[in-house]
Amino acid sequence: MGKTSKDKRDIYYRKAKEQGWRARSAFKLLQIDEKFNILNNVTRAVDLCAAPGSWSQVLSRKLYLNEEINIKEPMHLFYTDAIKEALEEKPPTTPTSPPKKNESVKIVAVDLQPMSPLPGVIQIQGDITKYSTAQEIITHFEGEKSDLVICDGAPDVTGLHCMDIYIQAQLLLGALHITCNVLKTGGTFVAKIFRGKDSDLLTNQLLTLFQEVHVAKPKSSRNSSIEAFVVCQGYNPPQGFDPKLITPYLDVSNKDFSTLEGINKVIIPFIVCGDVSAYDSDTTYPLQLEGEAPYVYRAPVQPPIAPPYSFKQDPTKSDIDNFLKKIDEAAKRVGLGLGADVKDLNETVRKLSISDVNLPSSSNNVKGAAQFDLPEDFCKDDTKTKQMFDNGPYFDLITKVDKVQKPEKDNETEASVNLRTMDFKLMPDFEFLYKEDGTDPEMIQTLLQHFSMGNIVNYTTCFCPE
Amino acid sequence: MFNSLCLQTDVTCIEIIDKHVFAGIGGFLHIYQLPNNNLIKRLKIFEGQKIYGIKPNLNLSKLIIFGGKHISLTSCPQGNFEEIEKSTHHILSDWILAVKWIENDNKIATVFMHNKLTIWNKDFLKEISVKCEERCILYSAHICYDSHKELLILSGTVFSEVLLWKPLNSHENKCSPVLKRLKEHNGVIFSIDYNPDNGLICATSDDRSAVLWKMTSTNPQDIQINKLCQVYEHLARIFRCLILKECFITVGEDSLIIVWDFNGSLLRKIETHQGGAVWSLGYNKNLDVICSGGNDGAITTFRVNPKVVKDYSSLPNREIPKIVGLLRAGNMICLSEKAVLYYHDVIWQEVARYPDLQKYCILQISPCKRLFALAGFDGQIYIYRENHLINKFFLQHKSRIFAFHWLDCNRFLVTQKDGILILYFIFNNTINFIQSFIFPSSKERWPTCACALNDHIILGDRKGNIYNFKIGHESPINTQKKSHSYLGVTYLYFENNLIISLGRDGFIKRYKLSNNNLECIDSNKTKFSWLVGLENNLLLSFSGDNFVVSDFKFQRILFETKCGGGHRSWDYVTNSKSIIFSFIKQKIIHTCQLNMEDFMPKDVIEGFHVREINALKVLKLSEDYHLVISGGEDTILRLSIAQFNRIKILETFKIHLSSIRAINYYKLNINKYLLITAGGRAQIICWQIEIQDEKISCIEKCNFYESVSQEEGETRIMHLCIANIHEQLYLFAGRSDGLIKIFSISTDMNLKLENSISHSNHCISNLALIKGGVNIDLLASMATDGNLKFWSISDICYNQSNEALNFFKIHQSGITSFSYILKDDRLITLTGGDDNCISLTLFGIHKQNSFISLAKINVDQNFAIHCAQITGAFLLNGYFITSSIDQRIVISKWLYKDNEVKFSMLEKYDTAIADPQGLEAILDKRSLYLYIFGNGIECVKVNI
Repeated sequence: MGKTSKDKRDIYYRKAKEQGWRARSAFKLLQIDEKFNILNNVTRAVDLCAAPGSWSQVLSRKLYLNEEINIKEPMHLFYTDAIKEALEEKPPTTPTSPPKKNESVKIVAVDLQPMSPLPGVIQIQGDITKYSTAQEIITHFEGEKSDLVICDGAPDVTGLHCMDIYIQAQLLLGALHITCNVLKTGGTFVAKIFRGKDSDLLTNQLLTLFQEVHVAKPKSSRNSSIEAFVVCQGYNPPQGFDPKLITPYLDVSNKDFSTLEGINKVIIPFIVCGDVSAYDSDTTYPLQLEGEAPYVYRAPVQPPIAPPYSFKQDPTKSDIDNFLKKIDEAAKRVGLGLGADVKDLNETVRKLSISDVNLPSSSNNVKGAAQFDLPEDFCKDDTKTKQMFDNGPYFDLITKVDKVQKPEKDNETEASVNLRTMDFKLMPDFEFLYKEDGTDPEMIQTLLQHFSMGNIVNYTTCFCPE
Repeated sequence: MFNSLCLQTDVTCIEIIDKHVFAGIGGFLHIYQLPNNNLIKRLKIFEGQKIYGIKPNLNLSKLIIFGGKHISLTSCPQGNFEEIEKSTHHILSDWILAVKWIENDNKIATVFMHNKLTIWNKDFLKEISVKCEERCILYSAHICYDSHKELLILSGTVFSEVLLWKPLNSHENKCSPVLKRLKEHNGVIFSIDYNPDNGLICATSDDRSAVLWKMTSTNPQDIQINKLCQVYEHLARIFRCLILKECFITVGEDSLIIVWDFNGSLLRKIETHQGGAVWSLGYNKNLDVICSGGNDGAITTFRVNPKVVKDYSSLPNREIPKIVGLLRAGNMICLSEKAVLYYHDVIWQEVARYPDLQKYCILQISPCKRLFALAGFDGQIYIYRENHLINKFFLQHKSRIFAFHWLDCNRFLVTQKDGILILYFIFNNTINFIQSFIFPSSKERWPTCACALNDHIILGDRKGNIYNFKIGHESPINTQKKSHSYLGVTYLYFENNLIISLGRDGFIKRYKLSNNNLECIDSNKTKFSWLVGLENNLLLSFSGDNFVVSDFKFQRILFETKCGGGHRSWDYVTNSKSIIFSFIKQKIIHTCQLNMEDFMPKDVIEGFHVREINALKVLKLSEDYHLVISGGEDTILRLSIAQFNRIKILETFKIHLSSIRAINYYKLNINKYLLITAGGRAQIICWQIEIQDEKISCIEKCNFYESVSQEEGETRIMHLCIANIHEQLYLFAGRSDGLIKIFSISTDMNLKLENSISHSNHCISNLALIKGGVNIDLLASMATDGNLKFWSISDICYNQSNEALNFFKIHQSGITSFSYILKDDRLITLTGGDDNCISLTLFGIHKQNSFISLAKINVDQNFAIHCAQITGAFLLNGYFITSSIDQRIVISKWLYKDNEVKFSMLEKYDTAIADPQGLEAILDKRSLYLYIFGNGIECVKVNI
C-alpha cells in the first residue's frame, strides 16, 4: 500500500492532516458543536482521556485562540445554490491579524499518557477514576466548576464486541464519576459510547443526571463504526446526590430495555450531526477535489507516541549510549577479573533490538511473506539487487564461474579446444564423446512408445529397473 | 418462536474434559467427542451472551458455565455428557473474569472485572465478597489453589501490572492489600495462567510478549517470584496462555499458537485460524492434544510437540560440502568443494573424484529420486544410479552446460549456449539423442524447471515465462508470458493430465493442454513466496531464512526450520508419511525428518470466515437444504451447504483483491445460476454455478475492474442488483462514490458498461429492484444521505434519462436495510437506518403512459425497537423481521388499512453474532429460515 492509500480511503483522515488536526476525530467534536453549540460561552472545559489531543486541540483553537473554524470549505462538489450565493455575496475576506486570544479560558486535559503541549491547555497526567484528579482540576479552575466535560476515550479493544462494549460503558461511568465532581449545574457532558448490545440501557439512565440526552453520530464517524456520542446537556443531579455513590444511580445490570415501562422507558433521540454539505466518511472522493488547491501528500500531524510494542523499534540514541556504557563497564569488570554482568548487558542489548542474546528468536524475524512481498517497482533501477531476488538454485554457482572463467566465445582457437580435450583425455576412464548429428528414427519410435508405457500416474512415476 | 439451528462464530471458550471438547460458541455449549470429533450435545445456556468459561467439578457431575455477567450451573447425571442439563441461571453485578470450584467442590469463587472476589456456596448463595485495594479495571484474572484459606488471586490490570492478593488478608473494610506487583509488561494484561505443580505464572499482554515467572515462596509476608523469561515472536497481541508440565503455550491475535520451553526457546509455531485471532485454548494430558478456538469459528486440535529428527553431519577428511541431494530411501549424495562425490546411507563414503567439476557443477536428481546427473563446464555429464556410475559422456559441443533437467528417469534435457536444448533418451542403457530445441532468446537463456506430459515438454524460466514445446518442433508451440511475474518459475509437474506451475511470486497455476496448446485454467495466490514443491496437501516454500512446510488448503505453516534460505544447496524427499529435508549450512549437512501426520492439525469444526461476513445469499435447493454463498472482510468467497443443523464448506475462492461487500445471483435455468460478487477496488466478478444433483460447481467467468489513476479514490462497490429487461441481463452496481454503474451482461457472462447515474455525493448503501404490479420496473437506490430514490429501469438502461423519478428523505443518515411489498399501485417499503429507526412507508404509484411518479401516503416509524444501526430487514405479509448491530432479531406485526400502515413489535431474539451485517430469509411453508451474518453466521428457524 502506498502512503496515499489511507488518504484515498478516508476524506476526513486527509482533511485532518490538511487542516493541521492531530487526528480525524477533531471533526467529530466540531460537527457535534455545529449541531448542539456545546462550545458556546464555555470558559472552563475539561478533556478526559485526551491523548493524542485532537479534542483538546479543538478546545484550544476555538475557545482559547478564538479561531473561526470553518469545516465547510468552499468546494464545487457540494455547491448548492444557497452556498454559492452566500459565497458570492461575501466579499473575499482579507487575512486580518490573528484573532485575539481569550485569556480567560481555562482548558484542562487529563490522560495517563503524556501528549504534546497545546496553547491554553493545562495537562494533568492522572487517572480519571481517582478523586484526587477531580480536586486537581478544580484547583486549576480556582475553585470554580467546569462548563463542559468531554471524553473521547476508548478502551483497548479486544475484538470481542460484548466485552469491548462493557468496558467502554465502564469507562463512561468512570468519566461520569469525575464529571459529577467537576461539572457545574447546567453544564454539558459529551462522551463516546459504543452503539451495540444493550447500549440503550446505559444512555437511558443518563437522564437521571441530565435534563437532555442525545445520542449523536457525526458524519465524520463512519457508518460502519459502532461508535457514537452521548451529548448530555443541563446537568441536574437529583437532590442530595453524592457523586461518590454514582453506581446505584446507574445500574445497567439485570435489565432489558424492552421490559422497561412508562416513565422509565424514554427513548433517547438519535441525531446525525453534519449537514448535507459535510463530507461523508464512507464515501469515496477523488484525491483532487474540484475547487481545492492541488493535492499534496502530507505526513500525519502527530504520529503515535510510544505504542506498547515500540521497544522493538529502532534503538534510540540513549539506548545506544547506554549500551556503549554497559559494554565499557563490562570490559572494565572483565579487566578486573570480576566477569561481566551478563544479565544487565543482555537487557541493554534487548533494548537495542540487535540480534538476540537472551531471546531465542526475535520478532525481527518477521514472516518471510512480508519480506518478499515486494512492490512491483522494487529495485526497478537497481539491477544488482534485482538479480539477487531474481534467480534460482544455481545462481550462485553460475555467477561465481562467470567471474572466474569468462565464458568462451565461438572464436576459441582450434589449439585451445584441443588442449581442453587433451586435458580430459588425460583422465583415463573417459570412454566416448557423444555425437548428436542425426536422430535414429527408430529411437523416436521407441520414445513415443515410452509415453504410453505402463500407467503414468504423475511426474514421479519411475521406469527404473528394480 | 425462534429456534437456533446452527451457529458458527467466535469460539470463546474451550475445556477438554475426559476426552471431550467442551466449547462455548455464542451462548451455546457444544460437546465433541475425541478423537472422532463427533458432536454429542448442543445446549443453549445463554441467549445472546457468549460463554467465556466452563468449569467442571471434580467428579464431573456439575459444570459452571459463565459469560459476561451471566453464570449458570448445569448438572450432568452420572457424568454422562449427553444428559447434561441447565439447572440454574444467575445474573451478577459485574463482568466475571474467573471462576473456580473450591473447598472440595462445596464452594465457588468468582473474580470480577473491578478486582473483586466473591465466594458462593454450592446453591449459589453469596457467602463473602472481598475487594482488592487496587480499584481498577482488569482484563484477566486467575484464581490459585483450592481452599478459601489459601486462595491467591492474580489480577491482570489495564495498567500493565499483574497484582497478587489474598482475600484472607482483608482488613475491616474488606479491602485486601496487594501483596506483590509484577511489572514486566507494557500494555493491558490479557491473560494469566498459573500451574500449581511447577509454581509457574505466565501473563500475556498487548505488548506482544509473554512473561514467565517462578513463584518460589507463597508465604503472604514474603512472596518470592523470579522472572524466568520474556518471549517475543507473536506479531500481534497475545490473548491466552497455558502452562503445561514441560512447556507453555501462547496464542494471539495473529492466529499463531506458539509452544515454548521454560527457558523461552521456541519449540513449535503453528498457524491455525486463517489469520483470525485465537480466543481459546485447551489441553488434555492423556491424549497429549492442544485444542484451540478462534475468530473463524474453527476448533482445531494438534500435538504439542511432535518429533523432528534432526541430524548434522560433516564430510570425511574435513571436506567442505557444496551441493547436497536426497535419494529415494533417504540416502544422501554430496559433492564437495574439491569435487569429491560422497554417498551416505549409514555413513559418508567417497564415490569418486571429479577435478573437472571443481569450478562448476550442476547436480540434478530425477523425479523418481533414483538417478542423478553431474554436469560440468565443458559439456561433460556423469549419470549415477544410487552410488553406481551408469554413464558418462561429453556433449558434442564441449561447452558449458547451463542447465540439466530430468523429465523422467528415461529422458533428460540439457541446455547449452545460445539456448540450444537437447533431449536425450536412455534406452537399453545407452543414451540416445532425440532432437534439439531452441529456447527463446532472453537474458538468462535457460530453463529453471521442466516437465513432460506425453510428447510435450513444458519449461519455465527465470523471467516467469512458461513455454510449451512439442517433440518434432524446434520452437515452442505457445508461451504463457510472465505467468509468474518477473520472479521466475520454480517448479513444474503434472498430475491428472494437468500441468502445475509454482513460482517465486507465491502463485500456483494449473494448465491443460488443449489442441496442443497450453492454457491456464486457474491461478491460486498463496500467502507464501518462493514456492518449491507441492505434494498432496503439503506446500513447500522458502521464506527469508526459513524452509517452510505448510498446509495448502488452509495455508497454514506446519513446520519451519532455519536453513539460510533457498539460495543455498538443499533438497527434500517425501514418502507417504514423512518428509526429509536437507541443506548445507556453515559447512555442515543438516537433515530434518518429520512425520507429517503428527504435524497436521485436525479440525473439530472447520473454519469459516475470518472477521465480518459482509454479504450472504442463500439458494434453496430443497426443503432444509440450502446453498449459502458468503463473502466478507477476509476477501474469500465461500460456498457452503446448510443442512441437518450444520454448515459444511464446499469450496473457497480467494480471487477478490479486497473485501467482498455485495453478492447477488440470477437464476438462468433450472440448475444454472449467474453469481456476481463485488467489493473493494471496484472489482466485480461473474461466476457460473451449476447444480447437478449433489454436485455443485462454481466457475469464474469474468473478472472486471477498472484501473484507477493516482488521483482517484479507492472506490468500493456496496451493493448489486441484476435485472432481466427484454431478455437482456443488466447489472446495477452501487458504489461508494455515489454512482450507480449499469452494465449489460453478455451470454458468456462478460460485462459491458452501458450507463452511469449518480444518486448523490454520498456512499450508496443499498439497491433494490422493484418489479411487478401494474407492469412496474423500478430501481430503488439508498445512500448514507438517508434518501430513497426511485428510477425507471428502462430509462436508465437505455440511456433515455439519467434523472430519478422521485426521492424521499426517509432516514437521518444511511439507509442500511430495505425490503418491499408491491400491491397493485401501492408500494410498501420497510427500511432500517443507521439512526436506529425502522420505517414502514406506504407509497402510491401513479402511472400515466410511460410516465411514472410516486407519492408518499403514510409512514410509521419506531426508534426504540433497536438501539443501533439496523442492518437487516425482511418484509412479508403481516410480519416483518429486522436485525441490528445491537444483536437483536425482532419480529414485528404490521397492518395496512385505509391508506395507513402501522406496526408493533412482537418478539425478539438475542443473537450471539457480533456486528450483524444483514439478514437473509428463506420462506418455506409455515417456517422462515433466517440467516444472520456478521462476525459469524447463525441460522434461526422461525415458526409464524
